[in-house]
Amino acid sequence: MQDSFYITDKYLLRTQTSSVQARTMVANEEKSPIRIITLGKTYRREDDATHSHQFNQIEGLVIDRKETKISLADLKGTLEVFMKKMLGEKTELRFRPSYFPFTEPSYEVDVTCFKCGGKGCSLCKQTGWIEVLGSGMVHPNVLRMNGYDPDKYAGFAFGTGIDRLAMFKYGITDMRYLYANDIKFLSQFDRMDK
Amino acid sequence: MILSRNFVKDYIDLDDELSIKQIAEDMTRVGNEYDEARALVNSTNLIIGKVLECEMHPDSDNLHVCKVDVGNEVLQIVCGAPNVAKGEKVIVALPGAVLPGDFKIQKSVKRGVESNGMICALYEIGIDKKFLSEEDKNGIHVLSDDAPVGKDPIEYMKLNDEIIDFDLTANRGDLLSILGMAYELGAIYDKKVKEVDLSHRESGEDLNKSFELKINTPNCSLFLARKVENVEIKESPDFIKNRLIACGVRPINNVVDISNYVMLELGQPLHFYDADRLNGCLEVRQAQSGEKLTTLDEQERILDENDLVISDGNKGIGLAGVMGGLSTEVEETTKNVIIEAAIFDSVMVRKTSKKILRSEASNRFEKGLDPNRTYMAIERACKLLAEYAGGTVVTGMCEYNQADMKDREIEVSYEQINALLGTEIPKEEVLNVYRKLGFTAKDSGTTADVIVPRRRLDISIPEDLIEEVSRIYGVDNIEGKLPVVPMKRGSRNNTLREIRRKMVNLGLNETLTYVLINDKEVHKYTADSFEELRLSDPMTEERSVLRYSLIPSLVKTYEYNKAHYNKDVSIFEIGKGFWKKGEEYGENNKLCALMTGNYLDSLGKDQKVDFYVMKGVAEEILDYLGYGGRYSFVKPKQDICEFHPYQTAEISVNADICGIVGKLHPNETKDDVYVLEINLDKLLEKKTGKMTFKEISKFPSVNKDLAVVVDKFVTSAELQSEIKRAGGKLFLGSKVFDVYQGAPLPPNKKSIAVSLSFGANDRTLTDEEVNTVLNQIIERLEKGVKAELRK
Ligand SMILES: [Zn+2]
Repeated sequence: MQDSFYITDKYLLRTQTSSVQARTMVANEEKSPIRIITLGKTYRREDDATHSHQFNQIEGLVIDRKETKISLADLKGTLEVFMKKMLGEKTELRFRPSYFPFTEPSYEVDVTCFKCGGKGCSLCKQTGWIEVLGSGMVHPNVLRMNGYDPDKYAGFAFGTGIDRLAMFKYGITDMRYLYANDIKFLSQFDRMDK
Repeated sequence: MILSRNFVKDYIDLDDELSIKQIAEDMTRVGNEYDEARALVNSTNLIIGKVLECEMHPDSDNLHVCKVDVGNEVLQIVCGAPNVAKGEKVIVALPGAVLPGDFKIQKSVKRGVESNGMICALYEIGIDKKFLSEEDKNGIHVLSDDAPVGKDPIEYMKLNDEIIDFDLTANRGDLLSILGMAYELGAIYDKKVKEVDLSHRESGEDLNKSFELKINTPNCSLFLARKVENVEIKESPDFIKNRLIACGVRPINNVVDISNYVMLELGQPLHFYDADRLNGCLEVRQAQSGEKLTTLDEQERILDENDLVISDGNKGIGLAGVMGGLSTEVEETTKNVIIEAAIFDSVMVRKTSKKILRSEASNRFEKGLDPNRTYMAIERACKLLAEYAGGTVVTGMCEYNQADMKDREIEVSYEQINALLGTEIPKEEVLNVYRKLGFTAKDSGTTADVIVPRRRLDISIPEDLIEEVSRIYGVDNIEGKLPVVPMKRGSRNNTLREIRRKMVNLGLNETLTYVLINDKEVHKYTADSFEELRLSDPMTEERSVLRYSLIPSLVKTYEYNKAHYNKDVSIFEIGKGFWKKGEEYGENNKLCALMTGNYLDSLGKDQKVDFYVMKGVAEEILDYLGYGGRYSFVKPKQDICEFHPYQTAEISVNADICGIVGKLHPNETKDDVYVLEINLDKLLEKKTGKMTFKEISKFPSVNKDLAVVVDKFVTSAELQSEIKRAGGKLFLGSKVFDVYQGAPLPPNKKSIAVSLSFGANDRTLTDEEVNTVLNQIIERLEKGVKAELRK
């Protein structure tokens, strides 16, 4: 990929934490259910007010036997809890069908604009919504490639950028604040966040 | 892809009440995001006027004072356009009008003359200059004489359209056409899509007798050619021009416009050749390595075997799916046209277009095409050329077809649908969704057997069909619930979190700095030998290698803060350091801290940071992790030039070096800056003592202070370990409380003051007992480190 940092032909800095999902599935030799949250640093070749070449992602993956009826409804419920905890109980979610190669169906998830509360403003381009998450039901091919029988297993996955979420949550105007580590910036967050 | 409301209305009845914004939002809910939805001409209060008088402004060389009849009144308007003249019909923005860019028109006075509105150019009311003729780019727009004064000019020019600029997902190539959009809107609003009119007459001898196709590559699955004779090249009718403008394509002439119009309408790119400049033949083949071809933009391109070329049998005349060649282009003088409608390999087109030019056409080839549309498109083009270019369609079509024309049949069970979505959608509703989408669905009891039209290339497995149900039935109608599954605590090591908390509690701020650093810094602050991990393609020198130590990052952070007037900096970070040794790649978790200036401890007490504060932080962490009694601070085996030669110690745990604490060398910074770094992976694998209770003495302990003068390179740690060795059972511990260098001491000496404590569990020690031990200690210090007792 053009936006990756390569070290050799074989090694590169990951552009997303999805690699952990695949590795967890492969490493799980019994092919038992998986429920994980992973987070970590990721890297892309870009640097500006809204993109940093280094940023952080958080991802969730649930794989379960089909008898447990793991479904899109579960994904919806899970993300509702996640976003309400992160951004406040009043936050509403909108699932927009989208396209990602590793999930089917796939959804982009919008949350009520934290700035205008959904009325529409310049930040949300007057739509009242801000896109925050990518998600979907794990594609049968992904299950198969990692040794899970898609007739017996199903699951969901989601991911988001922690930095962007932090910017939304606290109203931070420039991504670069997060990495400049000005003491006056850092000490603003030296408290419990209820 | 830009949707024109007028254009799509050819194929679907949309309720006039439905605002363009609402349509855009409804499309978004089924997965089609948009950038903007608006009127094509985004201006209010425009009216057609007639210029009755036009005089020069008394105080200006380029302003005119006009009297303009706008129907119910005559307005005086000052106009600066060079082409304004008496008798012209013009577009007038009345006072109160708002033009794009929130430009408000008000009554004003221009150089002393009253002006009641503005005479407009097309670009001023919102038509991009790239679509305009030279006259319109440089002046106001002059309407035809039949324009009705006092009426809406937008309606008169048939520019009363609305558009939505979509940002489509990569899998929906079918939506790169007005017809595809109609199917999607049809599914949303449950409306039937109308037939495309392909009817036209044809005459003359079959084209196959005079024209030949040679397809000499597997990378072209379908190639159709038809001929239209005696076309008259002129301006397109308004509806074609306006729809092209609405969709963002510049009108050129009727023939070229028709090719673009059909591509926008049906999604199939076409290419028109001047038939008289071909030799009765079109060939598709791979280019030869080094082959040269001059494309439409008059640039010579050098090709290789991975490029797909159209040739006239002799030489290359176009890059398949990407750009036509100059030699066979349709020109003003063209009479006869060969229409090409084809499908080329999407990967091959992508590669060539990436090299040469990405266009509306190449984008569609890359996404994949429906061969049924290829047939429709060539007939549609014939029809429009006959109708709007006066052409005669020649009988017959040259045809090469290896394409899969069949619709896909996919079976999906109702149970599968509801299990994946977590719903109880009845089968009637499922079948209804497929009907709305224009699919053919048959109910077979427990499954729906769906025939998916070829245009929906994105649908190939049952899950794709389930997604269609969720899209059209509506994700909003699916209620979220929480999965009921057994959960267990994660495997993530909690220790790092504990260390982080401890550091925060000690009053240090946590930072998050960049892993990529300047290659000049990667070997600093360490004596370890390793090979750095270097990016093969860094963006900048400053971010070109992966850090080994976190100290360079924290030093940078300190420098940043200093430049921003923060003198007191106490920070830490837990992160990875990376290295390579031979073929082995490795990474280690590291704890790094940097302190300078005043340190505000956890109780808000200010203290100047010195070596003992930094060392104290290390001790706090080591004690907290259970290494109390197992670590010591030792003199570095080898000098590290970035560290102060005497105020630096390595941290030895169970007799193995796990970290370093020290002051930065004066060559590094003039300030007193102290750093600490511990290799956590190395530390945490060391054994800790058990946490057990030790009997607490009921008797008071006795404290004695001792000040000694030693050589300046003797460290406090060395001194303390000598004391401990000589102390025996009654010795409880020592604490350094002062270190002094300078007059009246000789320059190679320093004084260290220590507080010693003594005690026993079963009694209060007598003076005699304490003095005996103290003398042992002094003796040991005199021998061991040549200490002199200071009086
Ligand atoms: Zn907003």
